[in-house]
Amino acid sequence: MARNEELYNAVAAGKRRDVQRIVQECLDREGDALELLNESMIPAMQEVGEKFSRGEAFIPEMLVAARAMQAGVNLIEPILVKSGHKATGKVCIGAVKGDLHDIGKNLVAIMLRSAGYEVIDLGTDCDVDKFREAVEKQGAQAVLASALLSTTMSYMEKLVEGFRDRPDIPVIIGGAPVTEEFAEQIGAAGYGKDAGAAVHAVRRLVPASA
Amino acid sequence: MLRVVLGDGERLLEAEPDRKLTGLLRREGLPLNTRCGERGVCRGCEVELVEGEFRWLDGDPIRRGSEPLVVRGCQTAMASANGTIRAPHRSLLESEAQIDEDFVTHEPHFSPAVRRFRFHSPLPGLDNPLTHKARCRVALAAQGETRPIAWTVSALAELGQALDHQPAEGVVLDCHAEEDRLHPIRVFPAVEEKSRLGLAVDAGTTTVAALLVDLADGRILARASRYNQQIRRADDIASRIGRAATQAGLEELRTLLVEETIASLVRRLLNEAEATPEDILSVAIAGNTVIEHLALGLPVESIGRIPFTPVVRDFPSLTAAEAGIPAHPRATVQVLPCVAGYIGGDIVADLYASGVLKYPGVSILIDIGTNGEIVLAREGELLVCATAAGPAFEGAGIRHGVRAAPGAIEHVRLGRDGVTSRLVIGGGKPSGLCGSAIVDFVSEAFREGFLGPLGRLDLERLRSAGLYRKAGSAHRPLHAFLLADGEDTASGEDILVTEYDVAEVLKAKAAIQAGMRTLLRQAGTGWDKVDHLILAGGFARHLDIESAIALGLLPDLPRNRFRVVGNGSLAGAYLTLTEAEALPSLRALSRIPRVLELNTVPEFEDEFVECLAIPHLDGEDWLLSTEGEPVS
Repeated sequence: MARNEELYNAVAAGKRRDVQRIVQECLDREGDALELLNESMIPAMQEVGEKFSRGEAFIPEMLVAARAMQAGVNLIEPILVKSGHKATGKVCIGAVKGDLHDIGKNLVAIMLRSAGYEVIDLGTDCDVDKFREAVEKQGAQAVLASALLSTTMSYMEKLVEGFRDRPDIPVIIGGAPVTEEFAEQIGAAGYGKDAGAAVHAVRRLVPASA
Repeated sequence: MLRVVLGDGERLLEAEPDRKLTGLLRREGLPLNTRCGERGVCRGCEVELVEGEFRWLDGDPIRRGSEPLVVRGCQTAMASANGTIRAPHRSLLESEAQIDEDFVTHEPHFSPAVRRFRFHSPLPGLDNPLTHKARCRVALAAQGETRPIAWTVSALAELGQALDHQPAEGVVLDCHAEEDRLHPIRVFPAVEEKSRLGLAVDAGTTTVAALLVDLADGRILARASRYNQQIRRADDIASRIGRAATQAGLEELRTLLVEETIASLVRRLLNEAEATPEDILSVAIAGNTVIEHLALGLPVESIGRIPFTPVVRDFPSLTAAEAGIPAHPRATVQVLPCVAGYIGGDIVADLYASGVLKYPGVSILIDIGTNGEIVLAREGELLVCATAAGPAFEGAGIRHGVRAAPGAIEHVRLGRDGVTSRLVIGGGKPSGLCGSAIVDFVSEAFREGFLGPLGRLDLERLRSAGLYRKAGSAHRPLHAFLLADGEDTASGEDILVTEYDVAEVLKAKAAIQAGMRTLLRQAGTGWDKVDHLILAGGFARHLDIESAIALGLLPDLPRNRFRVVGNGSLAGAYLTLTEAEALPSLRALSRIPRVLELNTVPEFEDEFVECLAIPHLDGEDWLLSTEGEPVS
């Protein structure tokens, strides 16, 4: 099946209800929801993400599209689990200790899901132990951490320190005050200037599952 | 020599090689916007290298073709004896800001805490050997003043002098009266007739405004404002908290606020009122919690992380000498009590000055600044939250944004073919647009179809109307709407609104609107139950309510429910000087609010996304009514 243009446009334009309706209709007639996801929704979200990286789309469009995407994914996810669908890889993501800011981190999570990754969202105010648990108990292959305040950003250094004994687990950081220089300085494996760049960093650092 | 080309002319500066451009320009009175603290991470200090040799700070020469090259001033030094750079308007830091001093208060009840007593004390005889201190007490008691007097040694010295050389007219005692005691500030012979003045300060993140008040009658003698000089080091609250993490950084921020901002304003005020620092007997400062802490040199690190607690909420008073403010050394300095890490004395001042607690029914007060604080008041209860609006409404962070000062486009109207009218503060050619004009633009451009609901310009439409301009660079194009042609502007540059600017406005308005919706939801009420919507802050004074409603920043309520109070923070500081009961009332008020941390409310993010569109997504107006759920 080719791309469902209506669904593709609905995701790109952030029309949440239309996305839900189209996906639900497909599920009701037991159509191939996975194909909808792969052929229409993910490409739409990727296009928005690329436009954003090129400076042709801005945060409002990106967030609105991501929310519409998420609404559709929520409907499809149970089916994927049932069918034993295999993800590209598994990562965990969270805002670091002391930080309550969620929105940017959630956007990265959606973009990663759009890229086929299984994402363990640890929420906000995450300490090293919380990230380690996701790695050790749930098998996350990378740690993504965000901070929106220069005051909480310093915790990222502790986080990198906390994974020093796990060179196989890349720590990727991002957030408004975080710079590439800072990431290098604390020895983070990767840095995402924006949500799209974070996905690229994961692609580069996490070997795709067979 | 370094030639600096500015929007409205050029300056020739003495320049030596190896000095950073930011330092060079600052020394010559042309400070660039070094909001990241010259770390080279923001783009505030960008300049264009036009002629001459330059190098990066690490020594590498800058290679540039025949085209001018844009660089960060803080990372660049001159490498030849002469050179030319162009400093665009957006990179220059104005130090003088428009005064946001106008406000509306509740009916003031003039009763300043600074009290003056005039008395003549007969010389004691051997049969009645009273000390000077006792004679003063007796004299005051004769006037019905029986509160104990908390003398300091330095004030006693003045009392001794004055009573030893007591003229027939007697002496004057100026003191700061608290409920249970008097604090003497100065004693002098009555013939000297000194005025007694107060200083009210609104210390904002971006702007600091101050008033000089005559405490004999409450008159405002002079007004002044200035950018908070802390923005030289860090432009938002989070980065200031980061900057203050070291003792040196904290002291630097304190100095920038107290000495370079407040003291400089005081000198201007005194000059205008022809008064001396010694006559300022009382100082009241209102600001957000971080700025209030920084004014006193108190650490702010804990405000930057969960659970965002300040060192103190009810600040003890101190003397002007301790605070470093140019006033009488024993003058009382009172910083207004705050509520929490992100709800400061400025909001308590808004609440007090607007008298919102006395309003019947449900009221919402919003103070739109760099942070937007929102208060929901209902039957004596207060629910508050803070939301990060960003500086767009203050004219900062957008391409041709300026503060609401002379030269700023304050209002703009659009029709089918483009701009139909614009209003420039003070008349003349515009230099940029301030927050109220940005709000007008976005709502009008949407209505006229130039702009889509998510902030995309209709490029075809713009091109055919001759309004399209390309901003940004070749590999990162940025579409823009031509608001004013270079021929009609102060700088000769076109004034544009880019899609990026629109996105900033949408984020800012979504933060405010979503904050209000979340608060209403938490309080279990809806817009139809809101009887008053009170707008505080300097921006609100310029705002066109209709544009704000069309944009989706404000709700579509009957217009008679809106009330604009202006700078409530400065009003609260003023009232602290002129009403003795203000401070106890502010303290009581500061303990009432329940603080809601928006980031912990799951619906907030959903509301935020919902509000990103103009006026909001799907045109849902569900919160307009408490009857039933959203139309879906």
